[in-house]
Amino acid sequence: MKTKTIEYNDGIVRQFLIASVFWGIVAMLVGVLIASQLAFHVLNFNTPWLTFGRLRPLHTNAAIFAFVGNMIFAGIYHSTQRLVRARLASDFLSQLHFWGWQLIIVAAALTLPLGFTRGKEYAELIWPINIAVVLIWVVFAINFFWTLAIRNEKSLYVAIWFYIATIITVAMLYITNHLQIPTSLTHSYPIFGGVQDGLVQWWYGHNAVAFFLTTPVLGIMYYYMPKAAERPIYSYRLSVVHFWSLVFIYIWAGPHHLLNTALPEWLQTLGMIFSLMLWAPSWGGMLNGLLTLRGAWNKLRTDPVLKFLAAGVTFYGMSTFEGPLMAIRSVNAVSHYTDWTIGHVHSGTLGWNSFMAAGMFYWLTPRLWNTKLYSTKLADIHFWIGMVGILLYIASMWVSGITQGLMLNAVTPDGTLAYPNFLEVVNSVRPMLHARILGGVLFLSGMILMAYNLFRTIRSGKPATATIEVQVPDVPAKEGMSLISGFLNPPVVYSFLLVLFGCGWGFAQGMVSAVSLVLLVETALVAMIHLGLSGKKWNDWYEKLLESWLPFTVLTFVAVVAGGMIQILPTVFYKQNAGADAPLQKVYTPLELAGRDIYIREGCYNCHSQMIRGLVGDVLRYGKSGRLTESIYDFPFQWGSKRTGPDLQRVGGKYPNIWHFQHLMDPRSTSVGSVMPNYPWLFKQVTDIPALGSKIRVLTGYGVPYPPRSPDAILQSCIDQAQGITEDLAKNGIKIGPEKEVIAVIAYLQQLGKYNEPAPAAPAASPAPKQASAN
Amino acid sequence: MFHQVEFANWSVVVTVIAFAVSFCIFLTVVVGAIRCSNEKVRHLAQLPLEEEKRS
Repeated sequence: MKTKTIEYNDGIVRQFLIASVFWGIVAMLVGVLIASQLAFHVLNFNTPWLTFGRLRPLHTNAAIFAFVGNMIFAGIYHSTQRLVRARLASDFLSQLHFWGWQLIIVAAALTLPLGFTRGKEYAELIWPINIAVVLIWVVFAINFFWTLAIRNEKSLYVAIWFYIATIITVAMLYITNHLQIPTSLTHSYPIFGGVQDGLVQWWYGHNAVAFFLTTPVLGIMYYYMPKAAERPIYSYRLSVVHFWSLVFIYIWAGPHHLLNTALPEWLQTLGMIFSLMLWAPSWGGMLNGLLTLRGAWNKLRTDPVLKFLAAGVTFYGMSTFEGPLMAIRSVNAVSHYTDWTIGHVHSGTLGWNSFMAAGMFYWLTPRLWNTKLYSTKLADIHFWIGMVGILLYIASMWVSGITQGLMLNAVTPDGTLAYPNFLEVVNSVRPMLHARILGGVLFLSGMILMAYNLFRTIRSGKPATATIEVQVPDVPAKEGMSLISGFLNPPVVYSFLLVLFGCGWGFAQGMVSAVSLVLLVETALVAMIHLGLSGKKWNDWYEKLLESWLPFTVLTFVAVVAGGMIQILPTVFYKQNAGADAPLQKVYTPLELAGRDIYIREGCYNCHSQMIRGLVGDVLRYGKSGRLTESIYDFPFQWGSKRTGPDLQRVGGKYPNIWHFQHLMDPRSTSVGSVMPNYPWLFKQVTDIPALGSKIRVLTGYGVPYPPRSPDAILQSCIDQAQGITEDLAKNGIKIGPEKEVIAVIAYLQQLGKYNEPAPAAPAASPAPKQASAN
Repeated sequence: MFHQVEFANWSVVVTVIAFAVSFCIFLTVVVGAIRCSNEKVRHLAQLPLEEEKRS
């Protein structure tokens, strides 16, 4: 053995920390602006790049990927080096990771307000940026796993497991949800459409919360909580159960975002049950974190770091209690599409993520700059301002959301809607929208205080060099376990056989089923006897697994893939199974398609859903509940997740063209009290007809039955349809050119809800897309 | 209340197999974790508490 001095790379931690604080303020500033826009529409300033629909994606992306992203990279790089007693493998990769990530954030901040979007929540960034994200994530993964490979500590602490799960699962989710074919340098269509796209999107969307906002922050909790409390985690064994339970359960819960919709019942039930199961591990983790403070509760009075960490973990418990509650179908009927969801996500991002970030920053900064925190008092003020801000925010959103849900679902004894005018609901919650702004401003003020406090702390110190002495064997030790021996072990083999025979018993019939049952029982007995005789040896396998990152990573990957596959695969093939009596969506005409892309560009999906749920309130208000086959040509799907305005699935033909024209120009002229922005630029800008050629080509490749058309034919089709609308407008004294964008948007809106009814006595069904008429 | 697309039985099969595979992994590692030696657990729990030199 020889002694070696390791100097940690803390420069990269400092960089990510500063970036996180900066982007956190930007994200929350935009958040306060868009919250204000929902209360005061004039704050949209009639300006495209300042409109709510374009800024809301900027807010969410900045909060998730810029603020929390930089925070988790700082935490992961700092704690991993200490936990594995090794310097980061590559300084170059660390810098590439940092600057690449910042470049991505800047690209997002420029493109989203300009209207370049994919139209999918938390996945709006356009395809060139998607590729950059994947490349930089790979750089991060290489740097991380390389560091594990050269580590000087054999055992892998549980925080490292959470980081491993984050890296591989986020990669899997991100790539799958961003599969797309470009139509131009700034536009693409996802390869999934309709319900497939809905499921892939919410599988991603839900697990982005799970594996980007939760698992890495849990790893950070398991490192910084013991550090700050100066005592080990309450129960290490519980932390292991916490990890595996989350990995096992979380990935299945995505369909709870589509409850009461046209999604098949079994998937809704699956999503609901797994969401409820999440209660146990989440609370186990929360208690494990909080109980780490046992014997040190008095420190909470004086130590701002512990205050933030303890409050953050408590918010983790609260929001992971609320999430499964909202995934119960009957509760979801009230909560979905309302402000309750907004309150829920903010109790997670402000309470859990931001407070954990603050606790970590206040602990890290003095150590990284070898000084003392500038002001404990300012940190305390930050804590209380932030706490009041969060409580004000989420309480107002609860009140607003429950009010919206109850009013929108309310029915009179004679079977009609109690509040038929949607705007009644919008205006009844206005005071809550004002309270939310106040909550947001308070929280933002706390963030600015923190930035000042950290800035003064940094100014008073100098970047520190942290070193540690480690004992290194003369001959480098091998990994505890090879990939092959990670799987060819009695516990794994028995588990595999039990699954195999269990499936044989459950799914096969007759003799095969009977034999499988016998083998199942026998295998279980043999396994138990084997375990009794050589229990300790079995545990050798497990303890070696704790020292072997590769088999461990593969095992985690298998667990998340198994859960993910079930949500995706069956729906990929649903068209072939579509019933012959299903109404089929009409194919969009070129002009309607252009209008749809403008609708997506303006982010209308942020406020309007296009999925009528099978609930009395929804059906009475909007018409027949939505069916899967009515959105098969929607690339991307536009079911939405929030109804600041009404559902639009069947808005086509409900109002005349002149109504839409006036409504887009000034929503208050047709809908008194509306909070929708004006869209004056739609009346000036010209529809991008030349782009339709490549768009239609890509959609045709996806199976949308467009007839072959030349560019001239596409142009002529657009002119013909647009002239029909302009002539109709002219009857009402409106003169506008058919080339204006507003005409395309009207064409799209008037088409919504139109579908081809099936023939009453149709013979055997042919594949779904071929039955639709090509417009 | 509303029409839904019928799925073939194999979607149920895939669900159960996926559940069984991930549940087996879960069960195997959780049992292993619970039976893990006290010495190992103590060592792991102490890892975040190691001190470093700063200059």
